[in-house]
Amino acid sequence: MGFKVLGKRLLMACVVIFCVSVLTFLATRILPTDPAALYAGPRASTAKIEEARLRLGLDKPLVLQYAQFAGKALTGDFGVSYRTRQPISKDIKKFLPATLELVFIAMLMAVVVGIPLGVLAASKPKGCLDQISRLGAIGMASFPVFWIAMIFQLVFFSWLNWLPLSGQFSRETMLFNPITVVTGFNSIDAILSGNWAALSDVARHLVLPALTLSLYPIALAMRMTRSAMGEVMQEHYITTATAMGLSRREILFRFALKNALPQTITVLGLTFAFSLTGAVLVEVIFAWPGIGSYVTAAILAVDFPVIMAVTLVGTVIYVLVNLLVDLAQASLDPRVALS
Amino acid sequence: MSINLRQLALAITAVCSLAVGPVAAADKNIFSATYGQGFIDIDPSSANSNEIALIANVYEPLVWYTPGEDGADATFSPALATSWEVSEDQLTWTFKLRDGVVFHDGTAFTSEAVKYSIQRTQTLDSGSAWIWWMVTDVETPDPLTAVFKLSDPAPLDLIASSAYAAWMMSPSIGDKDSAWFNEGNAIGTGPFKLRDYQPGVQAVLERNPDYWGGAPEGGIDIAVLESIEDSVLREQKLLGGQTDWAQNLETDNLAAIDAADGVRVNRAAAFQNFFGQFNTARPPLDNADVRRALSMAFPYDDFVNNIMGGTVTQARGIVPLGMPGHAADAVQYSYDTAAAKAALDAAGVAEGSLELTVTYTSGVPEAQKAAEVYKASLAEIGVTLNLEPMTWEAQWERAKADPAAAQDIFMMSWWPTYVVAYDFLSSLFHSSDEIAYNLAYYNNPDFDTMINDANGLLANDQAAAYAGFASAGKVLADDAPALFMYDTQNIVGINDSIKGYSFNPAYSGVVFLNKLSR
Repeated sequence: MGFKVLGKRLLMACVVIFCVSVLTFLATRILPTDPAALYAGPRASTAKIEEARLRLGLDKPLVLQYAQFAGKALTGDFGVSYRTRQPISKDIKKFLPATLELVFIAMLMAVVVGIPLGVLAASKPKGCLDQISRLGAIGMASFPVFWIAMIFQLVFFSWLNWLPLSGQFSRETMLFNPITVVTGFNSIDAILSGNWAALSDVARHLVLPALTLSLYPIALAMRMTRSAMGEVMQEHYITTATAMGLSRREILFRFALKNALPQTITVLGLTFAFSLTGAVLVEVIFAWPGIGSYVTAAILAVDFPVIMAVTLVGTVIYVLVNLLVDLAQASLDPRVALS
Repeated sequence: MSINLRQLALAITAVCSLAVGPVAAADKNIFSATYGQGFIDIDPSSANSNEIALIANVYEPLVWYTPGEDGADATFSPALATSWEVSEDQLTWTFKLRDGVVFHDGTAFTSEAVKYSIQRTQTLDSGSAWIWWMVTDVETPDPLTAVFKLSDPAPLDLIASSAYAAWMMSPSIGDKDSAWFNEGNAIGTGPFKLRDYQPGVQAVLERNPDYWGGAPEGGIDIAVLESIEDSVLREQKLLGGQTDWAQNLETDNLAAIDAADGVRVNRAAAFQNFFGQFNTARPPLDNADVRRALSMAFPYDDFVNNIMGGTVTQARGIVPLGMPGHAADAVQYSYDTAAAKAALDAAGVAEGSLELTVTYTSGVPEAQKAAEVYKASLAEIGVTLNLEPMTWEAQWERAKADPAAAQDIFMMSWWPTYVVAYDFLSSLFHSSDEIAYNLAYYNNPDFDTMINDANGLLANDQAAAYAGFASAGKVLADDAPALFMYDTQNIVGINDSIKGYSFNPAYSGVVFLNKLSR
């Protein structure tokens, strides 16, 4: 993909982000609730509500309000949340890494577990492994995530007591061995500060939520790889490679997989962006202070600035991930670069 | 390959065994409480919600409200004030202050601190700051005497015991705003200091070794107050011993929690209730006979015992049971569809002709249940009820706009800022030109006079004031401007190893940490 194409894509991305920002802004202004009343809180007097209206600039024309909002958003200032009364950028900085940590692990699992299983399943179509993996994938993709989460808690905490119930770390770590915040990612911060006891505690807390969240991507990666591989394995060049006496392993992973990967990567890219705000069920059940819980609470409290900010941040990440996916496609498949 | 795997397994086991005992708890007595909702604003001047769970342990008021045991009258007990008196004209209140008290930063607690706290709260004028509206000045004749000058007579001892806006903070805070507090700063005189604060997630408190009141034997060293959104998770943490105290548990699971080893369920009457205000500004609900008929059409027993699982009690009038000024001899309506039907007939409402609309806040399960149950039972007497759940803001906006076009029934919950029956009687039913919470649009000049007279007696003759509130409450119940559904109970789960827990209905949600031991 040449620079010209890349520039075009970036421009498109900016247009998408602009449109989303206008839409979210308008949506929050059309709804029949008064943001000033929300900001002033319940049992506020009329005078207090009017004061809030002035403070929030809600008395100004809509275009001016949007310009102000957009101008500040560009500098990373999304204003103050009505609900938490904290600067939204500060909230997002705190909650986003917690979710990213889970989503990264889930994606890693999809790549490390899902793709190889898909390849193996495709190596012997209708074979034993193919059937089992198909059944497993259907199960993983169709069981509701909240149900699986609670079953995991029941088995691994209540019955076996192997893993912690919820949260990011234990009370002891929090009180007596706190992790120095560097990146906001607990596991990385624990490594950076050499806090090994905290790292193992963090890892133990990560297992259940990350596993729960990874089931769907694993299933997806497995099935996508399996079906793409199924097509590729019918190609003549595979037959040729087999005839030339190349090992089965080399054919599967070196020649077939390379052509099957683009589809899987596209789907995983979409899943990644979706999981960011879609992880809310997992976050609530495991009391994981992530961005999904944050935006859900904001939606329930009609906390407009937060809804707009998270939507925008989500859009940016979505667009970026898709751009990365396209770049990855191009590096995998020279034909993409030509278009 | 197999050796490598074995080495790997050994390594993993080693890491995991490290994980089992992270770091010794250093023999600290740690207490955890789990709330259903996070703390948002911990500025003691403006905090107006469950943040008092934190604030009441870090700060102290001048006076505590102490509920009476076994039906005895409530008392006001000394906190940072040791005694107080009111002048003949009720416009001057003199508080003698506790000697030798210091704030967490070492600043001495004096009358200047009282003056500073009241003035800061008045200037900020946020949350419940209105409780001090009649205070014109705080004089400081000497360090241990604070004199409050009032524009109107008011029961200042009662107001000083408020759960909101009545906390004493250090003058060293100066002109810092709420944002400073919400970054995790607090300077009070209480038995605990704020060690770490993450808004909406958790707060960590640690014992203040210099607390004037000392500590109980086996007292708590560190307290973690956290918020967990999911009620099932709160329950799991309680049962698994990961938290010592949890609130807002699932009604259906209370029996199982009580039966489980190591935990118990604590129930106590709360000063909070749930009701539906009838639109008395519009026919046919302007007719008290119709309202009484509708009051007989709610299945109280069934709702209280089966739907709410006995976690609430049927209300008698608007002032909750246990609160001074509760009308013990007020009429309590009972479910009787035949009588309700007959009363509607007598009032000239033809069967099948009455169609009513109820509004309530969406996402509040008990409101949803109450509205649905009422709809079904009203259908039996030929009255149609339309349910309109919406956000609180939308519900309130509509009710305030125009009574003639507003809802017929407005369902909501109420609790007082400080413990006084007048808060319920006046806020909800006193006539006024500007509509705030009298969403029954009730206008009864006799009733207004009764409650205002009683309120005027509060400063000098509490017994007479409470009697006055009770007789006004009786008039109100008889007039039925609202469907009085139920009084709430405070229900929490608590670990058996914790001693000294009791619920004070004036400070809902507060665990008084300095009374606990393990």
